[in-house]
Amino acid sequence: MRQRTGGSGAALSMPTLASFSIFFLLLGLCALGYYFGELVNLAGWDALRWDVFYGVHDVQRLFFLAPIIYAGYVFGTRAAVIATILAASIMVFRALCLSPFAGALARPAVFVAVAGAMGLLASRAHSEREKRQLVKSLRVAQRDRMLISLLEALGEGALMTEPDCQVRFIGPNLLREFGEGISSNCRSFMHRPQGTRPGNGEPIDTTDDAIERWEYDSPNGRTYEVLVAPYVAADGAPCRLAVFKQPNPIHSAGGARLGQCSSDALPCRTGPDDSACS
Amino acid sequence: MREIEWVLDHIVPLLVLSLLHWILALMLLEDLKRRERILGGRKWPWAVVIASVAILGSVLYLVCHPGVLLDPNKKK
Repeated sequence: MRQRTGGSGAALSMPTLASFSIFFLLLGLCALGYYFGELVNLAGWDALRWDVFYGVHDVQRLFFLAPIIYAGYVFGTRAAVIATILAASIMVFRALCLSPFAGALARPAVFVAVAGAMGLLASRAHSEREKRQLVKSLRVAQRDRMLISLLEALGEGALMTEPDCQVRFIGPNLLREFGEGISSNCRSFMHRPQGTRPGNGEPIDTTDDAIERWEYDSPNGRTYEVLVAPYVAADGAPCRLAVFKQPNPIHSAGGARLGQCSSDALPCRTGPDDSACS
Repeated sequence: MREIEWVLDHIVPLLVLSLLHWILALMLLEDLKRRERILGGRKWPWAVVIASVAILGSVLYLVCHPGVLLDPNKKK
């Protein structure tokens, strides 16, 4: 059995470099806003001596919710704890050295407790969501494996194609018949010249959700009955699964339901202009 | 009475700050111990910076090794 790699894996999402940058940027901006009044005094920017920079800093403290919740959501519990500690340290330094108000530690303490809890809740919510997605994708991948194993056990040939007509999976029976062909165009893989229009082998039903039945005359002279069905793969890609029944006296089976098809009939159904597989 | 106020205004925030510093420092030192690749190649200078430079040393370590933020199960 051959399968294209990277298509049906299930993994936890990893934060990117941009995520780390955003976190540190948010934290830096919050710290800057928290000490902006002192910066204005130090630099002598008299035009910026606004009252809001010299109050109890409740508004500025609220800004710290952004990095704490962001860290919890994107990175996890540990990051939420670290962000909360860093935010608390920034606030405590002000309470210790700069604040003229009595009991300057009480308000930051309350805020930090609430913000930390929010960060932890955000990380919890995100990890629960990720776990659910992981379980779902594993379940779908398991379904794929079971289906393919079943088809193989029945002795049928199986072929899965992607929306762009690339071959994603080939069962061993077809592998013996056609050779390697993962990631190749399904038309070239099945020895059909690209770009030619199907002749009398048009699928019976051309709606997207329909199951199609064809006859396929392979270049080696065998005739297969092909059953093609839409199939959502483990990674969510809308693929098409083709089951090739072993060569048999097919002309008596199926009767009028079967479309007559030479090697033109392929699992990647195309429109009238055949553009999807070109 | 004034002495109590002075303690509340100065000593308590200092204790809180040092508590926060050591919580953060211990987390980062644990990460430092486990980490195989480190900026500069040697671990001991980072350990000294994290432990001795309150908060800022930890921030520096965090900026240079942002992977600390990830949960262990996400690192795998």
